[in-house]
Amino acid sequence: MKILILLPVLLPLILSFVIYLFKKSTKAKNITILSTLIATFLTCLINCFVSFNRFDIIQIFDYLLISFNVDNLGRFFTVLISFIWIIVFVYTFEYIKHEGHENRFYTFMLLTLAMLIALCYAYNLPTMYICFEMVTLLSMPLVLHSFSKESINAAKKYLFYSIGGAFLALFGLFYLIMYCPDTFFDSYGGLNCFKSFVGNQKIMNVAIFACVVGFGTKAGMFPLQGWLPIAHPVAPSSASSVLSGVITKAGVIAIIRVIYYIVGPDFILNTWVQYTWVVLACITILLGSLLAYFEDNLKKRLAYSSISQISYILVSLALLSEYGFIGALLQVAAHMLIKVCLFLFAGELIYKFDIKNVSKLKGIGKVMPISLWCFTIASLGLIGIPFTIGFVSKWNIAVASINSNLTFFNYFIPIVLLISAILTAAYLLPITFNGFFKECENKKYNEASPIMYCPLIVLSVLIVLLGIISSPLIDIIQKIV
Amino acid sequence: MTNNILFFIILFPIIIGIANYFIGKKISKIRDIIAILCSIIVFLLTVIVLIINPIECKILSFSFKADGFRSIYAVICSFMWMCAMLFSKEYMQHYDVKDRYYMFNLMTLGATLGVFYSTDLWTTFMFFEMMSIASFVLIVHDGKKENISAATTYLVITIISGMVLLMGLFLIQSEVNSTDFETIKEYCSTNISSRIYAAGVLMLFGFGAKAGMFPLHIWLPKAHAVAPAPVSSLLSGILTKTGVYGIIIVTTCIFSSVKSFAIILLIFAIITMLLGAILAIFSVNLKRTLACSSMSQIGFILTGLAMLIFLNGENSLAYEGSFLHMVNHSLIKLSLFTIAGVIFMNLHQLNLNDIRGYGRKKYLLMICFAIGCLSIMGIPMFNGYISKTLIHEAIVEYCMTLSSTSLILFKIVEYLFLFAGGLTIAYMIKLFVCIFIEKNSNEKLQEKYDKQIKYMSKLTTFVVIITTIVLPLIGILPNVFAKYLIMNGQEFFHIDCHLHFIEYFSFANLKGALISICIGLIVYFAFIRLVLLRKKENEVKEYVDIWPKALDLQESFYKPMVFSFKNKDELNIFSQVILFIFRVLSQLLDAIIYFFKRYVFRQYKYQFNPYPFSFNLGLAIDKRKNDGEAKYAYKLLNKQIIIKNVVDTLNSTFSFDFLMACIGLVCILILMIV
Repeated sequence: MKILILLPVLLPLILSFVIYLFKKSTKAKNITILSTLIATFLTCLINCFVSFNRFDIIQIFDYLLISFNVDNLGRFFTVLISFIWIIVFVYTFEYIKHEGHENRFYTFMLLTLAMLIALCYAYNLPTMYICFEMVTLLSMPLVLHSFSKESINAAKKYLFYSIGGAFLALFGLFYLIMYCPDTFFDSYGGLNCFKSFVGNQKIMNVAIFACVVGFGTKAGMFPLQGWLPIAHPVAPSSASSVLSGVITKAGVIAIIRVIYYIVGPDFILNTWVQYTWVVLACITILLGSLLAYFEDNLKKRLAYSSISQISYILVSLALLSEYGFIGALLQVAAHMLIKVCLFLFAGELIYKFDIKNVSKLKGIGKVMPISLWCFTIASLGLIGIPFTIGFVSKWNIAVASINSNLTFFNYFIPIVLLISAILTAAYLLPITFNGFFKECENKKYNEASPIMYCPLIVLSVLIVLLGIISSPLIDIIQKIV
Repeated sequence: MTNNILFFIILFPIIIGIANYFIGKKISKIRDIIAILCSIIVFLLTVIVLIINPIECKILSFSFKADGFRSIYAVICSFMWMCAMLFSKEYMQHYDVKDRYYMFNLMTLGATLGVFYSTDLWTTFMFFEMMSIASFVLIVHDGKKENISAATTYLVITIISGMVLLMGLFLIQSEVNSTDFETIKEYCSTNISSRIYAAGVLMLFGFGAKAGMFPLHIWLPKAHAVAPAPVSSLLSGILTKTGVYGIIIVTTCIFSSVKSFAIILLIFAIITMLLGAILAIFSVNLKRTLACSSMSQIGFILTGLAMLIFLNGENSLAYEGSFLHMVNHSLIKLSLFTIAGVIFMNLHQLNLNDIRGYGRKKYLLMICFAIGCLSIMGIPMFNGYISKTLIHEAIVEYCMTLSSTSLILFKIVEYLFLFAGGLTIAYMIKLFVCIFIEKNSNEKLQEKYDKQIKYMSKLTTFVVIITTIVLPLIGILPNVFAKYLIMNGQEFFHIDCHLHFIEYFSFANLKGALISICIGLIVYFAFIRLVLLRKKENEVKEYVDIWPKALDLQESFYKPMVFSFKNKDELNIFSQVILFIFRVLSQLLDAIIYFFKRYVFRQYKYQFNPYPFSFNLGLAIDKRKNDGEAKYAYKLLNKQIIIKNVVDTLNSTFSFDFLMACIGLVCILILMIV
């Protein structure tokens, strides 16, 4: 029965090979994929209500045990991720006609999903690291999809940065595994409980910092953020939406696991590790927003904006307090929903009109009003306007940071957040503004097919609903704490 | 369940608005009627709520309460909305995207009611932002060039001030651990830390931007002038008051006895008051003049609020004055903007030189406008007089308690107050004379104007009359209406002392008004008629706008501060430097890698050298086969080259990774040694 834990991993894994049995783009194939994804989502949901024991698959050698378990953090992430995948796949059925090679694309999308869920369910450091690397490797073909020169370069860069970052993290992990009596994610006491660390504080700090920066690569943290704006624009839109919305969160999960489950927040509280982490994340926030403001390519702009938004999460995690953690997870949910919505809109434009630049978007609201409405709601969410989930998360982060006992930074962080919010407004709202109120040549109503805009509607409704009724979400997150 | 009626009142117009959008797409006829009915129902509901005061309601994360002040303002708000909606029916006839207009209009109504009913800053802020975003769509509605520019300004100011406000809220939340007004009041009555102080000042600016307070007032004249007339009346009458509502909270809950804050507020209030009046005098656009006048009147209200802190607990004059002036200003501006809307509806012109003489022989319009003018001027027997007198009295009373040096300062404040009142009189006379008494410079046009008899529908006539008739009622019977308002509002302002009811028509109180009237007449005849009315080439006198462009805050000060995307050349040095730094930062790692690749770890490019082993092996096989061709030799050689290439690529890719790991190890070693 223990294998049930891995059902959400196995389903997409098997499906990714099964789809080769179907001939090109039939309805049957789409239905199979969709039903399997829904089944995955449901199994993730079921896992939320069932408690399991640890499930060890194989002991390779002393330090290398592959083990899975379901805990609250994993539940939270898997439900979100599998839900996003359903949404994105519905959109992809139509969108992929534009890109071609659908079987290859589906395969790697599904494999990535399987590995992401495995990453969430991983129960010790080695398993987590292996899944983390697998996510990187399996999502690389998504960037590579079009095989143009640009995309090959982007994929190379993505691989280079990710592997580099992962190695950096691996180096830190070696130290942690060496010193830690066990690397399971259940010893909540953290490193402070073990006396063996008394003399080794310095080295451990370096190791932890290496982990943060290394896993931060995936989350686009400065200085290893360079792959995001290169990789996102060349990938097919549905891939870039999950790259930005979900796969970057793999880094966040890894950081949470290492810092909150293995190291323990108290261990690095008020050390240089924390301060440097906060500063790096703050730099990233400003850097992302500012460069997004000066970028004309829509998808690149959104990629820069991802850099800044994910650093909200990192900054909030860096506070190492309970409230910070809640804020971070809220921001995870908010950013997932919002960024996927924004990228899908960008994809719609590419699919329909082959528009890639913001300056060509004048009057688009008269052509595709429904999509632009969804985009508008999502961008209001990203700015943090009330009645959207983005506001709830930003409120929590800012209050947490003021309440934290970081000297000086507790005022600094909210100011950075607000400046970034103003910049976010400055780079997203003109799109809406020009879209609805400027004239364009082609005034004909020409909305994309419902299969493409329905996912957008679902996402934007969720953004607003969760913004108004946010207390259940906060309760769920509080359970994780 | 009955408590949830408050939430229902707020939600109802929002839901109806959204539903109406889809109904309007299908059946456009009933859309207007549904919108009007909706606003009437909301009005009735607010009246019911006023009668069954007080109600408290906590739902989701919001908390609302209907008590004296809140209910009164909600009633005023919904009354004005109802009038504006009725007026919209005729005014919006010729516009094309009415669905959108009604949807956002009703959404704004719901959000505004949410602001007025709120009892904690969280709720206030949520609905405040919603209101701002929804009203943005109303301002941009026409889609003309001026609309877009005004709406952009509005949006920028809204977003920035919203963020400033939010920062204040963060500070409050972290310090008090609640945003409830009463809790804040309790907390702040004992100790005001620097954090709370900062929060209060930030909130003052956040709310002040919406109220049209001095440094962030720039959106107000622009937006009011271009928005559709019903919207302008709401913007000016109600939306600015939400900002004032916020400022009242700041003053009464946080700084109820902090004089240093009162000085800050007073300075900005006086600048707003004077600047608004001066801009109004120079303006040659009807709605712009009214908008600037709004700004000036908000300045009056803020002065009253500042005096409220100064007079802390000693007497209630300042409270009475500012509260009444809020109410009066809302009602007066509704009437004036509606009349301006009627004029615009017929002429599609707002420039004073174009609409000059339009009102001649239109007696109904003339009387209504005159009543509006007289009210806002503060002429005795009209409602503006009462509130202005009260604020003036508050300043005078405070002067009595002062010693020499600060006495002089407050005497100056008093005279500035009277001067601003005088300017109000001057620009209102200018408007009235221009529209209703003078003849147009173009005689044919004047004839056309005079012949126009049917210039508004019955419904609009009704709206104009009903909005105007309220004004003298309050003025003539101050002890009925004013007393009622004052009695009910005191709880919200946290006024504990017994209330003053002064003799409004005694000479001491009339004196202030008389001084203002004299100043106003002097300014009008000596300045407006002599300086602002100039002869053009064709010997016709026309109003000119000689306000120097350099004093336009937006063009000369704000725009250079904010970098615009469209023309990168215009970026100022400051932003260019920032941009450069961040560009460098973002490319840093790539640059380092590139540098190493190029100069330090340049890959060794070797000449093609035949690989003896594979080549010889191939030759040996060839010889054995005895074909005479060196087939295998080349095949094997090619294979080896391919393998070599793959290995090289792998090496070059992974070498950097290993390099990074090595650097890390070296760092660790150094750390261990140290």
